[in-house]
Amino acid sequence: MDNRKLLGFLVIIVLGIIAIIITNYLIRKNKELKKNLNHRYALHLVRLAFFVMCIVNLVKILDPKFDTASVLLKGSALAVAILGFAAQTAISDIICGFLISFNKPFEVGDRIIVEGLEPGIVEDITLRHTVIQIYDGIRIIVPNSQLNSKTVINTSYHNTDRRGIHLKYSVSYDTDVQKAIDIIRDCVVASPYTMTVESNGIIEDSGPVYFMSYADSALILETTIWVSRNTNSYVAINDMNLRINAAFNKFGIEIPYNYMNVVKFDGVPKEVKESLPVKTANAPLKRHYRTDTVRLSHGIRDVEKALEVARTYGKRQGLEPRDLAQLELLTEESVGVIENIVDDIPIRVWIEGSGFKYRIHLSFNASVGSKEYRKLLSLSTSGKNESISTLAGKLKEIMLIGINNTDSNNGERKAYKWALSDNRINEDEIGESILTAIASDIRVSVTKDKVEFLVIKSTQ
Amino acid sequence: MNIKKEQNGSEMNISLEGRLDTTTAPELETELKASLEGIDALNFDFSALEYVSSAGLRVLLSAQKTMNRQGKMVIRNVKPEIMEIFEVTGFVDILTIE
Repeated sequence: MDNRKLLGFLVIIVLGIIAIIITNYLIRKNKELKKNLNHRYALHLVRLAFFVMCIVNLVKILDPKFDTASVLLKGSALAVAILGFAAQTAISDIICGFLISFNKPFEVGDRIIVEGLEPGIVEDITLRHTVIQIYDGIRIIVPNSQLNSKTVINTSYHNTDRRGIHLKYSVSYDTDVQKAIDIIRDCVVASPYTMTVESNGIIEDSGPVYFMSYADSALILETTIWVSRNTNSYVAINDMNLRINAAFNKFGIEIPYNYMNVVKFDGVPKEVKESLPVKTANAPLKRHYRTDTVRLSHGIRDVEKALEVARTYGKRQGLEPRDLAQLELLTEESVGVIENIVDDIPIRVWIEGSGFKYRIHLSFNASVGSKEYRKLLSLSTSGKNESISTLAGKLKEIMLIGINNTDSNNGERKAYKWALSDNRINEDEIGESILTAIASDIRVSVTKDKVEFLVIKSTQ
Repeated sequence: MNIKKEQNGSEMNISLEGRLDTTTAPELETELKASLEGIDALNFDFSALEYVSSAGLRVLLSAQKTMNRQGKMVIRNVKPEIMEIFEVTGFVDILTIE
């Protein structure tokens, strides 16, 4: 080999080595690349392309007549077939890797559960495989072709700051389920690894716990906790299980298991059970709760039935006495106002909310006339029908109440002025004035055959 | 709701204890209709009243109208929660509250 060829040879090798060093450095050190799946895959692809180019150029230096196109197109068909057949798995992995990096069913740092494998954190993707980290440094190397064809559960999908961990707990059939749910939520709040949850625009201290199913010997309660991406999932799960196990033991919640023999079991002493508080000192307040729905039929007990719903909600959410009194007042006045507007139509009432904000729902199935429609809109804070979003709906409203009456209140509350000398004081307006003055917001939704009246109150 | 009534000649003192709402307001209304004839001073003591709704305000409004013709009506010892209702409804301008 002459000096020129040798120099060319060395230059290509040195360039190749430099390229490999740079790409390795970028993959290991660059923060953006560390957490971006398709960038990492692209870099592997670039490295492969560079490697192939270097080999081709080296061969060309050794054999100037070497023509890549001729080799690929005119080479022995048998050799190409054998090569293709032998490399089909590798090629499949490369193509699947490309598809994964392009479609992004998961990202680096996501917690995924691959069908048949342990849950783990996506650590890396190469041209051939994806690396998933499970317990304490143990990695699962999954070929991209397998990952592309299996079902993947991603608990961190599109969540850049957190990942979800789904937990299941079994309790015995005679458990006070609501108490067990409260205990689990208290444990979630108490754990230093868990994060808050946003639900319906409210930040709650923990996610809901659902009573999901009946098993042979147990009731299954499930919840999803959320942890920071920087938190080791196994540490968080371990912490949660320890807390819940201790709490269940403390409050006498039995975790059932199958008995082979009949064993006499006395259970937690009654005096111990009765002395233990249901909630911890740091019992959370912000949890979503929905009462049962009661049906009012314009009877003499309607207000009392509605107030029972309000008291149930207030007690459940631990409302302060003043807030509870306002809730009762808003409930009583809402029922009174709606029953004045519609005669003899059954009304459904329920209350839901998350601690510092609650919503009193009144709903009935009826087609209202223009007079009732105007009355309902006059109570709404915005003066608008919340269900109207299309031009057709707006036209229908104009037909119902005329064009001059379709302007919104622009958020201004109607002012109620009383004068004893004025014998025209409408006593129905007393209830309306209380309602509109105390409620944070009132929304009305009227469709062809249904009316929803929503009273919203923020207690903070 | 408990209604305690004391009459001294043409002056009547009524103490209300509990809640004045849709279910209890009719009781107060009946009591007042039966008692106000010949009375020229009606005094309410709300120190033990915890809750008032529009139904209660209607009864108070009716009593105030009656007493405006006959004499005067005063409400005393109103709790802050009840006063808030009087204020937001504007009833603080109609009723005499001390």
